[in-house]
Amino acid sequence: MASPKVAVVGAGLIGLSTALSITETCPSCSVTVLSDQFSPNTTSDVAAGMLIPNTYPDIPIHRQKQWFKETFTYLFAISNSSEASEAGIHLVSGWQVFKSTPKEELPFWSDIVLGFRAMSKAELLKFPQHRFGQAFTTLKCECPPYLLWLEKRLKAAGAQMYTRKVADLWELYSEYDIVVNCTGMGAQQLVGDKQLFPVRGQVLKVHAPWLKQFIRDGDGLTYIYPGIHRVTLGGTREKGSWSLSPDAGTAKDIFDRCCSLEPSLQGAQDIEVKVGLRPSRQCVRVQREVLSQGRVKLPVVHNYGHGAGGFSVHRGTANEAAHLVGECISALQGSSSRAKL
Amino acid sequence: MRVAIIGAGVIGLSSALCIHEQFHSLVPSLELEVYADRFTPHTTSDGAAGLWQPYLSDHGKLQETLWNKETFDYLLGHMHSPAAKEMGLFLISGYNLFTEPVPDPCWKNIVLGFRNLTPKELELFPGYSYGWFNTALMLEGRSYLPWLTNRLTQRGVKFFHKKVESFQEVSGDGVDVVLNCSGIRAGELQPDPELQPGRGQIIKVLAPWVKHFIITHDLKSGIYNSPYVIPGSEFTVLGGIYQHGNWSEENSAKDHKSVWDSCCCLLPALQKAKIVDEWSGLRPARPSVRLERERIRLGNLQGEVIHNYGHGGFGITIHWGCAMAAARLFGSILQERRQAATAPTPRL
Repeated sequence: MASPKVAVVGAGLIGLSTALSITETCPSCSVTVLSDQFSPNTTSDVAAGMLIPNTYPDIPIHRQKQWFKETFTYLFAISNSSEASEAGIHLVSGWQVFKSTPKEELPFWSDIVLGFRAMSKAELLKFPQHRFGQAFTTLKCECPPYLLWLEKRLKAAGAQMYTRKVADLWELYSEYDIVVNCTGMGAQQLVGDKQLFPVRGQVLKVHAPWLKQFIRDGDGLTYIYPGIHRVTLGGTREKGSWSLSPDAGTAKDIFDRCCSLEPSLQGAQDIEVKVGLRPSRQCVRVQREVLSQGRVKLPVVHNYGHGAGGFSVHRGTANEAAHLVGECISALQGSSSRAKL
Repeated sequence: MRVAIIGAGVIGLSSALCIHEQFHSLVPSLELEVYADRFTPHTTSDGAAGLWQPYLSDHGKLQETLWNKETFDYLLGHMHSPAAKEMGLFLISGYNLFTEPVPDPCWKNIVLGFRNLTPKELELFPGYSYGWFNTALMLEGRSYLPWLTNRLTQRGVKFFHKKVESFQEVSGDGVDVVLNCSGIRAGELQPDPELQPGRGQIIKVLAPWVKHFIITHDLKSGIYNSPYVIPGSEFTVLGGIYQHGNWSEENSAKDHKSVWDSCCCLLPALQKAKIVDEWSGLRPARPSVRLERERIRLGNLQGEVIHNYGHGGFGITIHWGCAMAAARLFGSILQERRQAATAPTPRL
């Protein structure tokens, strides 16, 4: 197989980063990204893009840690380069505060982010309702810039991108040798994955350029993430909700919760409300599968179900998916040479 | 009782506010007048980035460290007030970088979360092998000075746009206390060979992805002669010039290149940043801050001057501590006057 044709379905963070990873590990592949939505209309565009991992219950910690480490290392290098502003990657420091001391004072990722330490008493004075905190420096991926930068890298690597709604993976059988499924929440319908469920998140994006530090409540529900142009205020975790319409009552609640952590937000301007559905699963599905219809086979690599932790592990799962694509290619080459005998 | 304040930078305005806050109820006739030829946004304080950070060492001047601490604590206390945004006050973290290990600074326990940099963090800054991380405050002059001006105006303080040539000029007619907050040009009112310009030049850019201050240090070249990057609420300030004895307020192409090249080397992404402004200013440098009373002949009367100048590159950092000290000196003047007024007249 001289030039395997790979279709990546989905153009959010996972689709684009997986496609890019494939162009890097398999330069002879021709890669095409197919999606009904591109930035700025993907779920990824709603997220703040902070590198603070979510813990997946059904994945061994060492694997999650490896994914996070690969992602952090990759983005760290970009943030340190002249491309940082175009790629929308920047360092940000801040605090994670807890109303009661967490069971695990040292999360698995504490040695991967920079300068992780417990907050001092003096720092905690700023948060009278919180008794414990962690200070660290991490990375933030601003969207749309990061997704647009990935698209630019893909084009430079010769990948094609098309707006197209794929209703069935078999549609792609005749045109492509391998299909990579990065459809996020769309996988529920596309491949009938009943383990996948939405966790609705509503956020506010505001103009508050004096805020340079992030603040996150350890419960994961209230957070203030300063980005390049806007500050993301969050949020909600509504399991099972499919509604993409902003809710005014929720918006006020988010604003009030964030103002109690950071009173200067009262002066924030240009408040925009956004909603995204986190494609959630007990474990991220990074897996090979061979679909068959009669004697016809279609190799598929799945890479979806990142829930609240997509940004934190995207490069790690992209690399793993690209590796699985490599295995599919070897399998195809093996079977095609067997066919010649 | 009329008090004239010469100078409308951060020192003049904050000293005026401090005195009015403390004494207007005790001295019903208290009237303050601010005289300056430059007001915001044209003062030295407006050009400064506004980062609270003293020099690396106070060289034994404990008083200055105490004034710095008083200022930090005062500002930190205002962080949650509704006025913080209007004041231009916000928290910011960042890096101080060195090419060799150095002793911890005298302000390490004043700022929040002071610690050494980890090896991973130092990878961000090739060429630097040691450093500090801490959380400090920004107080942007371009917001703070208008805020101070508004507070003073509300209190009935009057402002006069004029270049004052002598203490005598603003006194007379009931003004017998003058606050000399004339910064770099104090020598024009009273010669002071110890006061020298520490010329700086800065480039203002749009780089909203920069969320930390980064101050590098070259112990051989001296303070602020090594690149620094300080993100403000609208613009990011690039600097790294300190020329002792240079009175020029003109931007120099050579200094521009030096600041631009060295800051882009430090943060490669700055190459893509858009330049919006450039500015040169004269830090009013002095071996120590001059904060003291002086009895002076003002016309027919004996008057008092309270000097409060010579804050170098740490005016914003030290301003409130000095304002409080100036207010204490004013208080002692008042006390002496009252005692003199109530002293029994000698019997003939």
